[in-house]
Amino acid sequence: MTEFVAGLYAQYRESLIRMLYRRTGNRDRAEELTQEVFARAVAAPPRNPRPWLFAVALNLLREEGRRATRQGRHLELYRNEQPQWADGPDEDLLRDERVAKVRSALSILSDRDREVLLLQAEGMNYDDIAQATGLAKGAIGTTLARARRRLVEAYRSGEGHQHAAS
Amino acid sequence: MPHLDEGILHGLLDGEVGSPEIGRIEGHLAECEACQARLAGARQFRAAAFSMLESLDEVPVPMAMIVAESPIKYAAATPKRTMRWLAPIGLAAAVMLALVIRNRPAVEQETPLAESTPAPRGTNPPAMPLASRLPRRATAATEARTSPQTLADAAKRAEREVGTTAQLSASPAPAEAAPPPTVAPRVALRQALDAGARSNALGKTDKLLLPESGFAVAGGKPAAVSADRVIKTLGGSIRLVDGLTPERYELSGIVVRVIYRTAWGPLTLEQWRAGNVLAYRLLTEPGTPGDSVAAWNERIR
Repeated sequence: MTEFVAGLYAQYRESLIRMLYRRTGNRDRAEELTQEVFARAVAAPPRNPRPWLFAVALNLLREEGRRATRQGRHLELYRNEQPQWADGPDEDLLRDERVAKVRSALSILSDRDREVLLLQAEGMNYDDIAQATGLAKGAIGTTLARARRRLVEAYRSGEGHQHAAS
Repeated sequence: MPHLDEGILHGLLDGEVGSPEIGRIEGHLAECEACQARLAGARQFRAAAFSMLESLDEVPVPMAMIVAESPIKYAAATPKRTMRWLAPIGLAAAVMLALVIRNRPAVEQETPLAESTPAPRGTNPPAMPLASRLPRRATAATEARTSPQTLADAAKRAEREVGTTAQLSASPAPAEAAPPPTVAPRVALRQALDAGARSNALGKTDKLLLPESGFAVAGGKPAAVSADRVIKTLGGSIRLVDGLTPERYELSGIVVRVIYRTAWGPLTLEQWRAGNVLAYRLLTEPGTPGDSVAAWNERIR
């Protein structure tokens, strides 16, 4: 690994893994995809690394999603790792339920909305998000507004279904 | 002036609106109650979305589980790797040992060979058939996983490590006293620092993060310095707020200040090295919206 990419690795690895983990729910997969991102950075060092790295990560996710669809399964069907919580069973259960609901709400969003939301949550500014996603910078605020609203509404709506069912 | 659209309101909350526009937007917000209400709604959606995404992040695995996990994988994987090439050796050894055992006194024959004489590493007890070795190894692996002693030892080790870290974050020692970092405690410490930084940023007093010595500089203002110099002072790394461009760096003794310009005035990320830990706190101008402060805190890398 070149010194340049090693620097990028130290700076962005954690953030990439977090974003990919939030999307896939699979820590091992998130780490594998992150390795793949940096392998590509070694092969072709990027000029503007941050948006480039995240754009490659999102492309890998999309490719994987398409492959999964061809194989008749959905990305959301990834086995959700059971986190090894340190709290008691009640807290664990509540947390698991909340995580499942957030994942479900996130999966309802369009790819574009979800990507912009995840990128912004990693602290990327609108310029970098625009570069990573190919959207116009002027459209980022509107996309984020819609994505946030839909995420929260989908979550609340899931909560409503759950209360009605119980 | 038409009402502000949702995209602009979210851009405003994300700190993405430039200074010429801010005056116009704030002027409108001051007069328009409908837009004020929509801004409040946007703020709630934004905070809720952040919180939901954060809830997806993994909770650190306790140290005890990490320590107890490693021998299991090794023990389970070993028989598969060694089975094939050991089979003929094992067979030959079994024949020879059978002859030896036949010639031994009766008392010695009652003691199972496999238990009294552990096989060297990389070989299996030769007198046992291959099939019967596998469950035996699996049992050993299970014992390694569930052994109360193993778990207790691991838990004690973890407690010692985490306890040391908690002590560090609760009462900051001089830089030399910081313990070497380990995986789980570093996560725990980072959380403690994050929590501390948030409470600092929200205006609460948090003395936990302040170093007891080496903080003050005798006389004069802190000096503006280059990024290289401050990174060197901090021991080769630096914390920054993702998405913001530093306006300047200041050095004051061991304390480095990264200063950003925001719509609400200067934003200062103050940091210093305490042993192996890069401690920090975020300082904002009075009147800075709380959710912007929270967002910046979340972006500290």
